[in-house]
Amino acid sequence: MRLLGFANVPRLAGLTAAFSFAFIGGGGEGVAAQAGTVVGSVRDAVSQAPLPGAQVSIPGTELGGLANNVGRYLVLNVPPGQHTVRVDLIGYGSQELTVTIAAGGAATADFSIRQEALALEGVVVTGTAGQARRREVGNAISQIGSEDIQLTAITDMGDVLQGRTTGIQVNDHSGQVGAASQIRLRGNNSLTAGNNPLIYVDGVRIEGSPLGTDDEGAQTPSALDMINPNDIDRMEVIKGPAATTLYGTEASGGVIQIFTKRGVAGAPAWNFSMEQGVSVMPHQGPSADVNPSGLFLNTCRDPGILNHATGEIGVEEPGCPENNSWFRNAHHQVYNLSVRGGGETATYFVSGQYGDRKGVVDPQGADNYNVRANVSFQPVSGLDIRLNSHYARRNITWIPNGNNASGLYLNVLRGDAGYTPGNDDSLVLENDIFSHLDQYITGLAVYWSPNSLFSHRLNVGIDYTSSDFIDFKGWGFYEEATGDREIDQTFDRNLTFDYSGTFDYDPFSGISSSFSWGGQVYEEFSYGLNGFDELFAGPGEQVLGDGNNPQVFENRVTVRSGGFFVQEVLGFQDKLFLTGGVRWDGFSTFGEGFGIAAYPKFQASYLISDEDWFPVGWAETFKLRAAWGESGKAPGAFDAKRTYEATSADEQVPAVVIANLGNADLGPEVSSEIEYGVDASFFDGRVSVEFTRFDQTTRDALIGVQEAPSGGTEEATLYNLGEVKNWGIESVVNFVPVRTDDLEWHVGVNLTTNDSEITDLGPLEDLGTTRQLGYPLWIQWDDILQNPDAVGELPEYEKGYIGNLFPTQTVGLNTRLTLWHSLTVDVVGESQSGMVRPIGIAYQNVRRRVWPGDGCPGIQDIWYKDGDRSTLTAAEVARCIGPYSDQGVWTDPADFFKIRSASITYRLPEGLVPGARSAQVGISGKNLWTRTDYRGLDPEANDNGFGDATPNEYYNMAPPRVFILNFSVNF
Amino acid sequence: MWGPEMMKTNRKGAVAGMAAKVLGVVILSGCDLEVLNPGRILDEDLNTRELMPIVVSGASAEFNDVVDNYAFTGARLTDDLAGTGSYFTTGKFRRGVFDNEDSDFFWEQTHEAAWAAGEAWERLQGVLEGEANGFDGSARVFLLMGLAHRLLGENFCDVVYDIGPLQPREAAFDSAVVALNQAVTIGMASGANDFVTAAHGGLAQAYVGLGQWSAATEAAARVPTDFEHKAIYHITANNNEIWDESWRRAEVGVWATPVQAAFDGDPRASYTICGEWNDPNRPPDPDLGVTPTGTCAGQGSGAHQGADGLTAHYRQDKYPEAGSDIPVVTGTEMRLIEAEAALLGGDLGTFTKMINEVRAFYGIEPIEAPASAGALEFPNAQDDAWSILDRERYLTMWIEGRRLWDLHRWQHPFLNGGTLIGPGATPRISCMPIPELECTLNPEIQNSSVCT
Repeated sequence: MRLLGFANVPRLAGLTAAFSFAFIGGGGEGVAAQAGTVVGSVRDAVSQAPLPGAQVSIPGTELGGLANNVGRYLVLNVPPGQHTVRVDLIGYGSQELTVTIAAGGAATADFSIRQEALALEGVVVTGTAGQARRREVGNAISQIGSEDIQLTAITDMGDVLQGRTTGIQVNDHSGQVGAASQIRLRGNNSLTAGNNPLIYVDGVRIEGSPLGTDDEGAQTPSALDMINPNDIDRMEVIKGPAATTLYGTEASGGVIQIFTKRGVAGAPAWNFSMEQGVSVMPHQGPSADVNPSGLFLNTCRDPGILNHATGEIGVEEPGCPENNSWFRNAHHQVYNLSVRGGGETATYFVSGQYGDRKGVVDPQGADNYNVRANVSFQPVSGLDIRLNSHYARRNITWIPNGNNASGLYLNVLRGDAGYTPGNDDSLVLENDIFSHLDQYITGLAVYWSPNSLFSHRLNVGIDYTSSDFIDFKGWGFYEEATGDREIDQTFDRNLTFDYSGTFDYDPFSGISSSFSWGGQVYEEFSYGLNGFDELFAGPGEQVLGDGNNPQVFENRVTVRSGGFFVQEVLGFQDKLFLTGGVRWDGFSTFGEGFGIAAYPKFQASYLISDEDWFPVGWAETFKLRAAWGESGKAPGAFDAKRTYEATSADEQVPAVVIANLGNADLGPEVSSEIEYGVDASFFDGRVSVEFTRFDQTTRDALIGVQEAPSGGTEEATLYNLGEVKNWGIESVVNFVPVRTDDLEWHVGVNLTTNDSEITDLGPLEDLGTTRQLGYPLWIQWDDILQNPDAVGELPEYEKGYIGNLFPTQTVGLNTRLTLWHSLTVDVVGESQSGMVRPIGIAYQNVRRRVWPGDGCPGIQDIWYKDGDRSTLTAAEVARCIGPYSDQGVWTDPADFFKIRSASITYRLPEGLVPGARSAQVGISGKNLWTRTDYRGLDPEANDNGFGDATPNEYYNMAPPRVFILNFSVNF
Repeated sequence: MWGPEMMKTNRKGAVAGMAAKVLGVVILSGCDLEVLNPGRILDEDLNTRELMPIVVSGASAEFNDVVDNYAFTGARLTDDLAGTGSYFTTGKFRRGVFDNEDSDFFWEQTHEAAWAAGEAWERLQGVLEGEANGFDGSARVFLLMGLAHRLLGENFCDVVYDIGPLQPREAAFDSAVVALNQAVTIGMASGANDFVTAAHGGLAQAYVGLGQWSAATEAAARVPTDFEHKAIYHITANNNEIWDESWRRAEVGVWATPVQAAFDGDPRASYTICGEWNDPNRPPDPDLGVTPTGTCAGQGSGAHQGADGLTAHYRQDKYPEAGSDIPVVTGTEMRLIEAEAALLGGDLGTFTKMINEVRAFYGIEPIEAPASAGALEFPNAQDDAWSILDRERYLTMWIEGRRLWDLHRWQHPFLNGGTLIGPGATPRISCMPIPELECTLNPEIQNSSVCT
């Protein structure tokens, strides 16, 4: 086997050096006075975008070079005569052109190459020991490239992942700018240890937990959203334990790895881009005929429309903004500037971004500043040193919302039944809520290939993220007349040390071997300070200590893990690849009696289309693959130890109470997975299919089991007792129905299913209502109406399973139409189905008689006034009469289809923008259309932020529609 | 595919292989993989003589944690307070419906309070050895243990100990008697007089549960009328839940309770009208709304109406601060125990004397001796001895988490569909069932009638 990536490092570096030398210095005069040159460009056949880094060579010689940062190349010292010139680029099909060189002359060869449907020669690095070609890998791996990112309407990083590929579920929980999306890879498999994937940026693990807390705004930001999408070159996603084995403990929720852009040799190539956008909130709640004000949100002052709370004509909500709506058309602007270039031994990519995104409710919004510098050095042949650094700052202004008595939606939607004095809901906006976030990621990557047998990779990096959350209710605030202030400051430092080495050799003809080894040390340091004060003496921007009840709480934890692995890949005729490996992990949170965790893996990949007997014809590529592997999830910091926590009792007397009973034998929960599938392409790459079936079993799942409470303490002890099964399929079909010189139309359809079952909970039957033995992981278990059709009877309920809280089926649809190599229309749609969601707003508004939908006003008139109650069915009473209503009745199927993103991009004719190499304009939109029968504000809305596993809509803001006008120029 | 300048250097390979082995050893044995955190206290670190008062305080914290929850939820399940809130359980509890999932918290917390006291006693013995029997903290942990058992007996229909079989609730009172007698013994040895008095009060309560009125009055007599032993709360350490739910949130209110409807003005049950009904009728039409009185301005979402957004908020003032303490044993309750014992014995003279002793303590006019023993009614007719006892216990121990026990042991007519706002279940619950979790985890009771 040959690891193309590692192999390429010295080779490409050498070629780059040769090329650069020639390109910059015009050298080689004495070498070949009779020789000629080949020049030209390498472009994408569809978009005509230049392709920096494409490798140009003249087969049979050692001549060649890389396309520079504007897609131009130059090959020097080409002997006179006829030559074949070849271009290769990962992810693209190769192309050869023939040129004739006269003595001392020059020839031009302009390449126009297409992306391959299945880029089997493409290199992946996520989940592999080093770099590997896709043909060698036995597990499914999803990639998202920079072109997809450029064509997507993006307001946060979750948008990048939505609808483009399989096995990824991304939900927008809130319309508040800065609220992070929830990401799940192949659903949920952990009962208690969390299901967020690990995220790496250029080999450095970054913080994956919610940043700080936001009880008041009911949403949380994420470190992932601090990354500038314009800096991304590509993303790799591996979804299950079969692929994440080499990441060991903590990786069973999958891994997302982001690779940022690198420099390419050549003169500085600048890019400037600008976005101007607007966010618009559509009509909210039940239809306009019964709810013309949109639950008092869209219209809070209009004398001529129905007030659903009073049944009278006329809406006049105190505190309503001057534009008669709580919403505004919110402007957003983003500016990017980047430059990439370099010389013989060093290249660079430097970028910066400023963004200012207003939210649809004043003063909500966020601004951000991002700076990145990626520098690569190739001081000697075979050695590539990369230093990637990134700093980002984000300032988010939240509005109080969600399950919050002083939240905006809770008070506006409830009309007079809210909590604000005189129903003046503008008072809640005097609550100042901010998140100030800083993120610094720096990583040093060293690739060293001292010879043809060995290659080494070392990644050392640090991710430092801090969050300064401020919740300030000043003196005179309606709810706390003397005010209060809460500060949550969190600092997370993630240190990654990751080494791997590979020894390649061919023991026999036609058989290749690649033996890899490596180790990883990871340390997470979390430090948090929570402060509170109240009873301020007077107005002004009071801080902690200015009040009469200052309190502070400190938390700091350091968790370390260390692991190493070995792996062997055997290749046969470069068609069949067998991989075996194991990773061993030690972890500071394991119990003293547990020892080391071991995670094995086996994979097979067989490119049967390379066999002689494979029928040549319409199917050009056919790869069978299978993978089995394990990875884990670690217990929490002190789960294994018996500990007490300090508290205060009585009149602030120091006291200790039991915190955890401990379990010295505690180890990780282990997820094992088998996945198998096929990758195939047909009809000259115009049709491609990827299909994967996966089955996961998470054993030794961490669950808290207490003794029967009569035995003493209520504290549960964590044991490795549970078991969860997950299974599903992932399939992608891409096809190009039309391909002409001037038009290319691409259509992609992907389908993901994901189901689960809790098969063992030790001695327990449930872990609360949302996790029950014999049911999927995370369900809604609530009161179910038993006598819906009974007339004149009160509702009768019985608790039971209502549905899954996470989708069991996701279908993505994307299509891209490119006309005349310059006009591109890109649309991404997605449906999610199979889940339910409690509509907290409807249930709570019904209890207050201010829900305009579902015929409730009429039913309430019958019940509360002079109607005949005996004419009502139990379902009507359950739905609309507060004392008999129930959240279970107000839990709906939350299936939906959304247009996630739509864009039209036009590349301006050359020369139109003076001094520019190229320029383009575009318009894009997000959340343009939603189809759902869900009766709440939005089927994806979740009151509890992205770390939460029990989504529930409870007075939180739905995602708005976003329209973006963008302009980009390269010079 | 490798560059021509590269050589096969097996020696380097050997070095690299050795380096990998070294790396593995370093990673898994050389690294310090301990969790580092300065905030947690390890079990063995507590075995220090100087820390014993802190261990005892921990037992107190566990007990305090549960008392205010009994007071809050007990108020919603009875006629102490009306649920006017937004919690999912508001309507259910107001109707008097409470199932074996609702009781989990109370069961666990009360057992833990008793367990924590027992664990503290074990540590005291281990660290102080023989001196533990003369340590006032030891008396306190037995007092806390006994009172926790009394809570179980008063609130749960049946009890279970040590993952054992189902027992009648009297077993909890028996356990309380054992622990409280131990508190008396150690308290007397250590000079902890207040703990001794409180333990006597607890014994009187437990003996009432056992129906041993003679023993109850004997213990009660050792407690002076002005004595109070309280569960302690603090604005930072542990807020009083009832204060939180009535001053900060308005989840419960006094409107429509006997305090507002029949006993208005009694100093034992003070309240403030934060919002006036716009409709003066009874019952008022909630659609006509509530007008803030301004009295409670600046006190949060309960400034004028309940968290349900409909009900005029009548705010309890018995606990006016987050740190207001909740009585657990009082001399006035002892007098009422003596009054009840007298009533059961047909001695209306002693009955009246004890009632008036309580009323005098609160500065209330004495009553005339009732003409007859009579019977309990709802609403309270106030004209006979049982109605008077009902009223006096209701008002004296109002929102202290004791009403459910009285309703149960008296089989009070309120249990038969009684209601404050909206309909009430028939019958209303009068005690908490063994929780589902205990049924799941305790093989001794899985097939018993309370679990199937």
